[in-house]
Amino acid sequence: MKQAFQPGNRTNRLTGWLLDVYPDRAGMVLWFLDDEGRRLRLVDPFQPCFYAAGSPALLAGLNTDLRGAAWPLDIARVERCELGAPEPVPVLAVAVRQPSVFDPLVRRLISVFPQARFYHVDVPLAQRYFYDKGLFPLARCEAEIGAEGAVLAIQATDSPWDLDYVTPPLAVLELLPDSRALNPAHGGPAPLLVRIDGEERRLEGDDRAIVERLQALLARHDPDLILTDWGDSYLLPRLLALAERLRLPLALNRDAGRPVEARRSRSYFSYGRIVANAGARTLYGRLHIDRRNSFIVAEAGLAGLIEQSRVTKVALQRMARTTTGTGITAMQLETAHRDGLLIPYRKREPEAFKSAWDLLRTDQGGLVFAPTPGYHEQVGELDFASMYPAIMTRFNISPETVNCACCARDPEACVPEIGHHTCRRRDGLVPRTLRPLLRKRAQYKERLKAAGDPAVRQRLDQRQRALKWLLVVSFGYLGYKNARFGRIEAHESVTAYSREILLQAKEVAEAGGFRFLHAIVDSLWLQKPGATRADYEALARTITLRTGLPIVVEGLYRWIGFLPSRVHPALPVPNQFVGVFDHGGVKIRGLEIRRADAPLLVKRMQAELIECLGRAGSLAELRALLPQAVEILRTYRTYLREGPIELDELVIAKALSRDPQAYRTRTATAVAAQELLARGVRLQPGETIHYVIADAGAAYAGDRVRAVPLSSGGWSYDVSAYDELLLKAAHAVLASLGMDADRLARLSGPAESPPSQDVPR
Amino acid sequence: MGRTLATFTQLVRQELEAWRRYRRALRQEDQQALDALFAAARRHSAAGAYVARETPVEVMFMSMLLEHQKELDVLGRRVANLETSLPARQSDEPPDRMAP
Amino acid sequence: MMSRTSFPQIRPLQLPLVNGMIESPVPSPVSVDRLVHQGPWRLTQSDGLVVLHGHPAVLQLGLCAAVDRSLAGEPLFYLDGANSFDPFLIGRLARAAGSLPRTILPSIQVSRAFTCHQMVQLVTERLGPALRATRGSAVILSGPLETFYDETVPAAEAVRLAQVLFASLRLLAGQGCRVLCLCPPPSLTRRGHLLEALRRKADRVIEAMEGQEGLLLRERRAGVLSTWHIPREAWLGA
Repeated sequence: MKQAFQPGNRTNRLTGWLLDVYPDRAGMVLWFLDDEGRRLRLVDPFQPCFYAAGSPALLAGLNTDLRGAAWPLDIARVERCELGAPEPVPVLAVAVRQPSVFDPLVRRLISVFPQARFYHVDVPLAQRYFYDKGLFPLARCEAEIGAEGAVLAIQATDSPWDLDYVTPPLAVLELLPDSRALNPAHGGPAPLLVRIDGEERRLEGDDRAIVERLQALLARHDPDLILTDWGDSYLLPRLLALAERLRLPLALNRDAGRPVEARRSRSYFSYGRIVANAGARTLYGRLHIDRRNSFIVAEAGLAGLIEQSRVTKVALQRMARTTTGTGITAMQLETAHRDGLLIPYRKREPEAFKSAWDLLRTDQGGLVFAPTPGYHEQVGELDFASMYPAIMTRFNISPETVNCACCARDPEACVPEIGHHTCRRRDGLVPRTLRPLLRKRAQYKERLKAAGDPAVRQRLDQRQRALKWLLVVSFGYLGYKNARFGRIEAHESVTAYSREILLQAKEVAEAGGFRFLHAIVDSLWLQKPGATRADYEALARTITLRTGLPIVVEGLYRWIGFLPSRVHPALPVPNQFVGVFDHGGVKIRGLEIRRADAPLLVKRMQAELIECLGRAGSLAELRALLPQAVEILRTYRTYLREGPIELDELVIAKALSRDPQAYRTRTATAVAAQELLARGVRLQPGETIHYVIADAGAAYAGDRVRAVPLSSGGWSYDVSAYDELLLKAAHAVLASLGMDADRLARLSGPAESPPSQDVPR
Repeated sequence: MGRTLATFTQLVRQELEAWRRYRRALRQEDQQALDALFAAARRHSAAGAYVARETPVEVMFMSMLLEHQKELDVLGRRVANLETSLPARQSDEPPDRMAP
Repeated sequence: MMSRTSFPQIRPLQLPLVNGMIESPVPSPVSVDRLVHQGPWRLTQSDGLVVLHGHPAVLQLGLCAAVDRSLAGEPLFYLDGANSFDPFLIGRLARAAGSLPRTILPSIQVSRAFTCHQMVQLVTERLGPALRATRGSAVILSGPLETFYDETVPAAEAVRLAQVLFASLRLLAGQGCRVLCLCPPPSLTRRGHLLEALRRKADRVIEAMEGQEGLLLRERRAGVLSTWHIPREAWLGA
């Protein structure tokens, strides 16, 4: 596997994949995996351009300043449009011949010329390069290469919208601390594990030996992807510091001329709220992905990350660490860029004035029909597929199409109830961006139905989920304060349509004899005695016909329980239910089992309980299973008292909602955080910590919980506190079956005989 | 951008809060009845949101009335069923509704 | 994103106010009607730029001024940087003042800004034409600085934008507009200097603070200290 290009060859044709792209002096550096297995460093000349607008005097001043700059620039006066602007404006277009100076240059200009409006200044250059060349991360490419690895021509031979793309055979090195799921930075011994080529080894010995062993592995295997647990916050920073202290080489980067890119973790204050940002260590020429610091990898695996990266054109290492919103924004930026529009540096457009009277109607969300608490049978669920994005595309909702100048009088353009209208003439930027996403996700889902092979199914499911997340956030980004192409009126129009459509669906369903049990914005739970799947399918078709939006049958339930509020049992609570489908699958919302902070023991008990109840085909059978359910709870309570219990089963995970020093009351989380701090662990707000309840009633708050990992070997736990959690979790499910809390505690307690004779009705 | 206006569910909670002193001085069984009334308002939060009135408490009262009307209908039907299933009593005297 | 929970203690029905107020250091019961029509923050005289600050409840007091102006038949512009506009509370105040909400609400024009860039754009570009179109001159800025307390916006940029905002507000005041700025305590204390700077630009500065039995308002004008007291009492309806 050679890394440098052979200088002798005059031109060379390559086929392969694009692994990494970043700016350099001479252009963009490309790392290419060719079909012969070589990893090649190429350079493609690239001159990214930015724009500035302002008064003529201001632009003249800017021009003079730039002409005196030390860097080679090409400056021109041109006219360009902002999204939704009626006329183009004169702007200064500045092309930067050395991509590596682009960022420092624009940073300086923004502070020196505060009155100027800058455009195209903050789109990462790798993305800009992808837009201009029609490329994307891990694209399959053909390239023509000249001397010194200079790219003469490059083009993608597949498309981000292909369904059957082939990903490159990446050499992967896995690096993780050999400690259980918890954060190694919080203490406990953690030897380093390395997995490569299906082999796992522990790196042992002193610091020098560890760095040398790792360096040897990197040199021998030359991985494309370093996949870690806790690499960003813990492993890589420590390894790099170690190597530096011992003056040993550690070639995490493939590009030897560059240091590892470090972004320090920090928490910052935004609008009265703490936002935590875990640090990052990213590489050049290789990829580093930290599974513990990636939303999308946690949600949809590497396949999902690659899918998102391909369609959004956000580089893999960045996509792994950024928000899904950044991904959808990047797609909109590309659409704007292709349209020749200016991409503003900061969003400025505020809401248009509206009367307080109008605000009453416009400032509304989707409709939620509270459920009828209790267990029901003969229930089916219908879901609108990606409702909000589907509304945006069908009704052409986009910042520049809402309340356009041309269609105000067209009754067809009218948004229901709120007095806005959308353009009937021009296709909006947001719909154009979303349409291929919607189509691709629908295609994946179609294939998923037919796929049999579990590996294929998993991949398809991860890819469709990656797209789902992009679609989900697309709505929020119409209204998000920092969204480049957001606008309140567009946001309001989407929810107005969603209300209208849900009401239409209600009318259609009720006309068909279905009872409207519960609905949340885009999901409907309906009841009709004797209705079959075919009846629900027919209903779905009728609703789609009436509303113009696709709706699908999520499933028919053997039974479903809408669970009441725990504080006020009379109050209906939306989206808190447990149901069993006719095919045996279970759907649960709002229970412990779904919560990150509930102890494993409690989740397992609840899962077993629901599995047991899931055998019931009707409400009558469900009630008959109650004694068995109580028996499950009894088993867990006995296990809790008698053990032997594992620490993992009791650990509670909580995110720090503030600086650990700033907790006023001694909550369990505060106590555990204090303990970690006292041990010298560094914590930041937003970080998740773990603890066990040691003695909830202890007079001294510091004795109530113990932080995990434990500082010493011995530990104990508070049986009654966990017993309480078990009871609560069981009661949440069983309350609506007529089981009050005291009775449940008694029936599942140690003294009681089996409850076979004591079945509630 | 979070929404600016309170949701209807929040408005119901605020309204209940406004009645806190009243509720505190009620007998326990009457507190439960009051809670049931507000649960009725919550039950119709979709309609409450959709109507978007400037005086939400009117909408809450309407929801409470509506649940009352439904309860009346149910009770009315049960009474009618009982009347038809019971052996005919003396002439036009209705069954004793206060009977346990 | 702004969260309404930033101001937990000031939801209308838990308001630490009010059944009225009076210019006096001693609390005494006064009607809501007087709160609406006789608060020192009302925008009737040629006040220029008024800053009412110091307590989260200033956002609600501002709504009283909005009702007062609307009842007087004036168009009112309400620029919301704190995501705090509350038409339901306005409705209650209107009722308490003997009017119907639906007669008041249409005359209040609202626009929300969620970033400091939007707030500046709103004041510098949008407000002027809107005022001219309606011949209006009464403006309320609810939390004009809230959007500046955001660390994702660099401090230097926030300061520069705030200067642009203040210059525009002075300009409006100079043109005869009455502008009331409602400033709760800064949520990002290290940018508290922005509020100081705004106070220095103001024609009148009223400070609200929690007193023993309610809200205490104080203003020093031409060397004379005026004090108002808003008793802590049950608020409308309860």
